[in-house]
Amino acid sequence: MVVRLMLLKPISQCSKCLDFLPRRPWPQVFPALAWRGHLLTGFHRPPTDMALELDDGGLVDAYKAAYPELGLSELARLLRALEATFPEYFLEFRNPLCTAYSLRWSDRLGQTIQALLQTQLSFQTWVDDKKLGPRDLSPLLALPEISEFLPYTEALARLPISKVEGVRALELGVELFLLGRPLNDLLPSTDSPSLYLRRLEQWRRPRTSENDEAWRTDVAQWPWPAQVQGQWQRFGDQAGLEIKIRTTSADDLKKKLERLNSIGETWSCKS
Amino acid sequence: MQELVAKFEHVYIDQTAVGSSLARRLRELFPDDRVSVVEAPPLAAGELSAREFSRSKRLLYVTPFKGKFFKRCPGSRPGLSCCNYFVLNWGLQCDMNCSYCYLQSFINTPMLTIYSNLDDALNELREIGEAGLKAQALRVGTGETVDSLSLDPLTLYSQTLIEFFRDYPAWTLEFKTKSNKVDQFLNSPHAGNVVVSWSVNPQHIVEREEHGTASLSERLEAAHKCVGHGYRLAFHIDPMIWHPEWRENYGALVDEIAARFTPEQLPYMSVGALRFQPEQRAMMRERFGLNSYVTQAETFSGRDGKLRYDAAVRQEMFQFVLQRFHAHNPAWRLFMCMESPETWLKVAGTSPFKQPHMHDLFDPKVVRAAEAT
Ligand code: SF4
Repeated sequence: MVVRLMLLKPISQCSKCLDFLPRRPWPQVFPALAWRGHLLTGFHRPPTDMALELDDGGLVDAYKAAYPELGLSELARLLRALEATFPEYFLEFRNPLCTAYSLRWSDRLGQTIQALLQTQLSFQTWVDDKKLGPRDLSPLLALPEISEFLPYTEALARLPISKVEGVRALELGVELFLLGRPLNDLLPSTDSPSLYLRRLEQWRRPRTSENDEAWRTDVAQWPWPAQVQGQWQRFGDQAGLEIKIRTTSADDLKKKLERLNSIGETWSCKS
Repeated sequence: MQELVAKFEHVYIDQTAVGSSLARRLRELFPDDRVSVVEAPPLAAGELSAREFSRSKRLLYVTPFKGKFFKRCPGSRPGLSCCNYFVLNWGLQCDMNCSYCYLQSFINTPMLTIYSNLDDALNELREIGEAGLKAQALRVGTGETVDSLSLDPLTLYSQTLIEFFRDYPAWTLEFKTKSNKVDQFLNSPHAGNVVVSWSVNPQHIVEREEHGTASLSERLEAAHKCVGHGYRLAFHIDPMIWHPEWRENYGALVDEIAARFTPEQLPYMSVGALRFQPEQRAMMRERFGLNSYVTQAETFSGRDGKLRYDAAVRQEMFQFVLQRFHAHNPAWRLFMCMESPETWLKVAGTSPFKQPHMHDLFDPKVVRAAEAT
């Protein structure tokens, strides 16, 4: 990749309309970069600093050199800024820029970017920090009005949550919201992500959860032999008993298995 | 026919398909300003958006298929029982619009494609026959990636296939549809080896989830016409969809089938419960919102990675249907497609491989021999 430099000009003479709020500041050791009088980096430098004006041809290369990695939200903001600044060239930049960041422009990606741009900056930053991709954000595309859902995205961004949990919480949140659950219910009221997610999962599958819960309570009261633990568990699309046996001799094992036979009968009667 | 022609905004004919009989027929049926000959295939830019997917149902693209037509049924994966069934895909995408449609999980072409070279498919079948399988009980279905009959008044492919299968009386040709488009082939001479099958659901589900399909009574009416012309019938009560009134609605469906048909007319009926690929959930949610029983469904990941109802719910639904049929007449037979051996055991009390009337559906020798060709 070759990025040729043309001339130095003061930042005060450059436009900042391509400021896409990159997460990482431009390193002080490098001069700011500009293209056709528009700053590409170093947006917060003093106006007296100098910027290097780049050769006309290499905008995508220049971005890739200046920002080897961009999160989806950063790219979304950059595309928005480019479209507003260079509407006549935008289509030329759009696809190569997406490709440079390992994405393929499509109508679907365009919709995802539009949806993302309607969320708060805190959520957008969360998306980039967690390295979420377009598919992770697909639940947003099901919302007729994203603005109504913004309290949720804002709260989600504050939750100490892993990427996998966050993606699942977003999907469950959108679905429950569309199913009519009030936003106030949905907002996280605990800092424990796993507890919070469990609650969302239960709301999303109320009949099965209620059924599993009833079994769990029931099973806990069955006459389990000593040192035998039986629990009602869900294994994907099936639910059933998970039994742990601690035993010290063949005789003991035999006795426990005999006692478990009667548990089996109890189970048969209940099924 | 006018209704079908009106469904499509435009017909694109690949220049390599211009000489095909299908292209000629479509040029006769559609006004000139709605037909174009194109040099390159329509390219999808990445994954389709919901609106592109919906629009793809209204644009027709005619092109020859360049791969191998003849494939095995997708149900035959480890751990799942499935019928000995071969699939002949002569198109991709469907003009109807079911909320649960599995095409939503993988289609990325922005048009409904119909392959113009059905003759090549028939040549492949001929080769399979010449490889020693002509006398085997092979089943060939055409309704995997396109509905077998909904577009048939346009293509008339049913007539060509029925004619071909007259020379292969041991083989069975199966059309699978949610339409009522049967008139165009009713009078075709056939060898008694054509099964016309319908996927059926209570009218309440048809209205809520199977948009643009024939109503239940239209499907049953079309089935009646087929019986009257010596065609064999099959019904697939599939996908069964849980909803608060499922017992009443599926009970009424069983009663209606049992009142209008006999077990002899419907020797094989299958039941299956809602299942779908996790990848299609986003598309369904965007296209149908959460007002659909399908997007609302309480699903879990099954052993094959598809999302399904809890196994106990599926068993309850299957058992209900089975018992309801048996209350009418114990001679009714049902099999469960795409279900695990455990479900078979729990509902039917036996494995599919041990049911005598299922032997011709599950003979692994036939499957292996055809795969080797
Ligand atoms: S009829 Fe079949 S192929 Fe067509 S939309 Fe419905 S499920 Fe899909």
